[in-house]
Amino acid sequence: MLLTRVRKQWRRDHPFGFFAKPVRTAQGVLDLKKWECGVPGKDKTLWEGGLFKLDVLFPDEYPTKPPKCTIPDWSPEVKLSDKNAGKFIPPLFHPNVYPSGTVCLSILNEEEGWKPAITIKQILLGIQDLLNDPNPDSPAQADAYNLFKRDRQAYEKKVKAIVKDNPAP
Amino acid sequence: MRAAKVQSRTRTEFQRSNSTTNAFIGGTQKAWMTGQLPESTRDPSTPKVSMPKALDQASNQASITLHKAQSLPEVNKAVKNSDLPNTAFGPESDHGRYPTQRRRQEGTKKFTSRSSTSLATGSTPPILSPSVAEEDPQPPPAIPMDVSTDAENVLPSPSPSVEARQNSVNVVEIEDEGPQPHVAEAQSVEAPTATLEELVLRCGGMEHFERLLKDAGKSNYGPVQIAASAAAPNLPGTTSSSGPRGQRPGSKNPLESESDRERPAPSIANKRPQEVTDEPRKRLQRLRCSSFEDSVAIPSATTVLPSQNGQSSAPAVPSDIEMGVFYQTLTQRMQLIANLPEREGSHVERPRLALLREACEKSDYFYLVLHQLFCFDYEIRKLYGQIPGLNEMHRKGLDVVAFLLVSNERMVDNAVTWFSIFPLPLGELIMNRPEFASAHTKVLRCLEKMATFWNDMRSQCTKRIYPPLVDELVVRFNVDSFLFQQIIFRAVLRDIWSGKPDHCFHITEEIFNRDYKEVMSRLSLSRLSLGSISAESVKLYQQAVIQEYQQTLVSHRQHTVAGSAASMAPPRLQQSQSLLAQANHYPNNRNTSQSEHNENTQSPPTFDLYAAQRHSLFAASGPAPIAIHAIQNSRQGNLLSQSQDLASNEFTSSQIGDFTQSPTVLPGFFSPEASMNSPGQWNSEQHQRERRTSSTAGNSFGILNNLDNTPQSTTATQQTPHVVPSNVSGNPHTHQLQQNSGLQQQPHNRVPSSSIANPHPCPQPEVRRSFSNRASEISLPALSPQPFIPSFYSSLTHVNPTPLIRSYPPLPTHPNPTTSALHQAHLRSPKLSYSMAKCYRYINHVLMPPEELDSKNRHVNWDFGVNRELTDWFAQDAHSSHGAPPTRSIVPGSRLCRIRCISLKDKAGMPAESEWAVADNVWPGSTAIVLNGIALDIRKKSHHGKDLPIEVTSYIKEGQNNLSTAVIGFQKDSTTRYAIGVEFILVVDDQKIKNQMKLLPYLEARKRILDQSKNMDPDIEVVQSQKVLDLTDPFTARIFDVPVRGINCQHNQCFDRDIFLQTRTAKVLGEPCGPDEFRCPICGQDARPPSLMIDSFFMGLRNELKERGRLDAKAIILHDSGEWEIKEEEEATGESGDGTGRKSAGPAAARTSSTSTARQSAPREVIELDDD
Repeated sequence: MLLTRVRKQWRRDHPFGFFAKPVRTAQGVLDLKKWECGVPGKDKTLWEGGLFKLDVLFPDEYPTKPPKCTIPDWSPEVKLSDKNAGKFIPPLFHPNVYPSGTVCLSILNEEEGWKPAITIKQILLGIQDLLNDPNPDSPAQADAYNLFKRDRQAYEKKVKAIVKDNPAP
Repeated sequence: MRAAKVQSRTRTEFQRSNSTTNAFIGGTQKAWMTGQLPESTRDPSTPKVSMPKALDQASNQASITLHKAQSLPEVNKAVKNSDLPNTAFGPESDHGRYPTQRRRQEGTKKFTSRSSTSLATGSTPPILSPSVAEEDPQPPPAIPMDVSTDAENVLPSPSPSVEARQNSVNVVEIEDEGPQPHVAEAQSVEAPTATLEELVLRCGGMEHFERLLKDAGKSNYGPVQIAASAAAPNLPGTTSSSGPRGQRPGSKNPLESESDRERPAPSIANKRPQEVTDEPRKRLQRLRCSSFEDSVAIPSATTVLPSQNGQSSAPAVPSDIEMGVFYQTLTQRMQLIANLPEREGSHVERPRLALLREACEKSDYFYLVLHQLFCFDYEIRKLYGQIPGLNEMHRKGLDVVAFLLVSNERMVDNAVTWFSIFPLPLGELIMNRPEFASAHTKVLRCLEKMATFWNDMRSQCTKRIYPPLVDELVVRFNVDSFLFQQIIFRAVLRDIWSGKPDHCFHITEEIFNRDYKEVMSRLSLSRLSLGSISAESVKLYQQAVIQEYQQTLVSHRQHTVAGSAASMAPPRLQQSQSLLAQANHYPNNRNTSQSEHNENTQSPPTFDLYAAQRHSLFAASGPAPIAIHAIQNSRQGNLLSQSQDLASNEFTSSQIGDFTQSPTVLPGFFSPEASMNSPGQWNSEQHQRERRTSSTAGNSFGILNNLDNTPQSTTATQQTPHVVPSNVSGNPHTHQLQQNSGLQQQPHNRVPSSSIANPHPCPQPEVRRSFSNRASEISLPALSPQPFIPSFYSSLTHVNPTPLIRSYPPLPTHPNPTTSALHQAHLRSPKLSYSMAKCYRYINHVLMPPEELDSKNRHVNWDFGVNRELTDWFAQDAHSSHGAPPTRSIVPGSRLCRIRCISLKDKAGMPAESEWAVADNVWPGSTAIVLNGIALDIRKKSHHGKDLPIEVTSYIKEGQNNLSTAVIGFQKDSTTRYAIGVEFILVVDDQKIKNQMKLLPYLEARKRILDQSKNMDPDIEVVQSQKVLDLTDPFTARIFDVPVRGINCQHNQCFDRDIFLQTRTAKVLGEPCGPDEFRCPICGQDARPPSLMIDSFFMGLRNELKERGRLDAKAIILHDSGEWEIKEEEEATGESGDGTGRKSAGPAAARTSSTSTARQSAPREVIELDDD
């Protein structure tokens, strides 16, 4: 019921470049608890031109509990490609994205900033902001965090590569 | 003059009866007398007067009184008047209004009517009144019986009621009579307020009660009851003290010489002034003395008497005397009841009397008052409704008491009546006896606590399967009375107990008794600050007690389950008891159980031996790991003290394991009894495990096996049955015995006894004998105990192997506390338990030091006061075993305390409470916190995922508290400021929240919304003349039922009250909603229950929508004028799949949003596309 409304709201009003839709199960039924979303990199930032896929899982307790946002893992082809072989590549190179792909964002943390009234639009916009504005106080992955702290240039270079790998259509 | 004569004789009789008193209470009486006599203005000489003189004087006084009585128009009339309930016990306002004359009149009346009664009935039992005693100087021992019969026959004679009157009148004497009647008034005014109020209330009750008494007088054994009660009121004063004695005509040595008794008085008189230290008491005594002449008028009041045998007694606490007297009254009553034929309620009445007697013996004021209040309340409630002094809580508490003591309804009315005025009418007790007054205060507090915590306690005990600890009773119920504690204890124990109380039951009670003594001595020590016992040791002690209880209960269960209770030796529970003693029980065990099992199962002869041992194990242990631990400890202790046992002990345990595994023995082992009994199996498993570990450790087992020429192996199958008997010799207990006695052969003598008893031939008795012989022989000289210690320990420690986790995960930003915070497991907050409906916790208020913490001010030392209303409601912890955090039971109204620290960023000033309530807890850097001298550890985000507040409920005390905080590790340039504070959390239930929720009145609410646009910045021009108000609840996306919003919320949208409450769930399953959950779901602002407001404007909108049948509306459009219309959902008119495309196009596209049904239909594929 609520998720229907969430969907309705989203369809009625969502920012440009974003997408969010419930997935369809194998039986062809919409699963309103699992959404596939896309967050574009913000204009005039390093991330411009990229589109980052995001899985949003609404728990049963939603909206008391926040949805869980995860960057989906790389496809097998990417993982097994020559340059990546044998390495673990986090789903997204970003200081606040866990190696598991979970996005670490205060408004998505039940203990911190989550409020039941936060909309999917706000979540996705928040993630878009986070892309270019990582929060060094709560690092979630070592590589991106270390690079971000120690070698900003290398970090930016890497981000550009990432964006290239995730181009917006 | 006849009256005078009666009086004097009466006194003689009293003196006789006094001897009984003296016999009973001995020296204590003197103390009482010291308290009373010297101050009497009238008769300082009286005590000195020799017997005849005293008599004379008494008769004089009597005649005086009589004279007074005669001056009254008509005695009968007086009686009638005095029958009015108010005379004696009017509320305080009545004091002083009633002239002295009146009381006098009553006294006289009493006297007259009483003597006349006795004359009239002729055979009035001596117990009742001295006048009767006169006629029957040496009452037969069976008198109490006669009394009752007489009373029954005589009824309704005036005498009972008159005596009842006397009772109350006497009280009046003390309270407000005397040469200066107003003194009494003054006294009550000066009394501490609380007591005063209570007194007034109680007096109000009393006035009814008097009437009640009269009724009672007409009932069966009224006279007796009244005699007893009448005795009581007399106690405080010199005169009245004779009362009770007078009523003890059945005194055991009526022939004791009176003169002897009389003499000691003077010395007592001299002592008295020292006793009178405080003003009120003096006044009281003055009153008593002044009322002297009046009491003389009462036949029972022979003033001189109290002085008897005073000389012999050492000064003692007055209360003891009183207790002695009460005790006497009680004994009498008990005799009487015992002699009465069985009647309704005797089964309640007798135990109650016994309890009261015990209370008297132990000077247990608490119980006396509690019981009296309980009965008194019942009486009053039955007739007149409530005692004004008692509130609902007390009433509930009394209901619990009724449960514990068996309801008064089960007794005949006058029995309750008697109880309700024993030992003295309550009002008087409280007024005049500080001990009783303080007991009364305690009782009231206890009742409140009982009302709230009883159910909790009960269910908790049932859950944890051991009875309440004395500590818990003291803390939770404020009970320090042994008797009442015992009663609670028993009640709870019966809850837990399965089957009939048996030996174990008594053992449990013994444990309780010990616990009580222990705790009380500890408490008194700490009260005297003679040494405080650390919380840890208290905890340890409690755990030991719990362990004992658990052991007892387990062995009890064992009994009942095994079903062979008859063959069971009583379990030995106390670890302190030597196992040797345990061993002594075995022979019996063995024989009985053996024969039983042999008949049934044809088990090998050794079976019963095993069983015996198993029993012994269970006697000291149980399935609970903790109990096992206990036995291991005890065994270990055994071992260490007798190092020679080591080998055999070790051997034993391993052998048992093999035994159980040995196929040949198994059938016998798992005899019906054993297999029915999961603990038994468990135990065998335990042994198996022990065996495994010990055998792998290369222990004596193999060696011994070698010695026995059996193949050295650890596999069960290879174990031959003849090894089994080694259990017997290896039994630590028998072994110990053997060594103690120094007779190595002894075990064989003992062991075969079972096989002899066994009709079936023992498989290889010879082998066994030799084996065990050798085993013990060898174990002594050949095996030094030392080598075995490690293996023994290994067998102990490996019983429950826990794998060591050796991974050091990196510190994540969102760690999983169950792994990353293990080192702080001891800091876990207590588990909350509550039995009521859903509860909520919210931050009720916060105390903050005036200064904040920042990089410049890193230390705060702050004193704050906590008043008693708060501490009284602090939730109490019950320690739980197994290293779990304590359990804390909460009820609506409970308070909890936390220390939190919040970041103020760079805002100036201290945070408002609403800010505090919603702010996250943040520990700045490394924070050291000391509360009342206790260093508190903090739990930080790095381990717990979040900086957690500190639970300090158990550390906050009434009065001044001190909080000291120091922070290191501030960043130098940080401008962030922090506020630390102690917050008080209130537990409430659903109903309370709903009842207390405020209402934002319609007009105000409407104005608030309409004004919003006007309040805007003048620079901003509001173009829109209408606004859209969302009517949906954020949780359900439906219209709210009861629209609420936080007081500080800036938004218009409301959320639904009930859904909001429903969604306030605890982080921990089963606990009430946490205090940090009350944030507005829309804006995150303060939404604690007291900050919530129902918005009447939205409520009105809803009502109107409902009338229109449009509760499906999601929003309305509100115009500046205040008019509004429903904002229709953009129902997609042309909502076909392809029409929905291009969201970003704007409202037109939005309008096309489909209904869910539309989506379910075929075109949804297209919708999908549009979503991208």
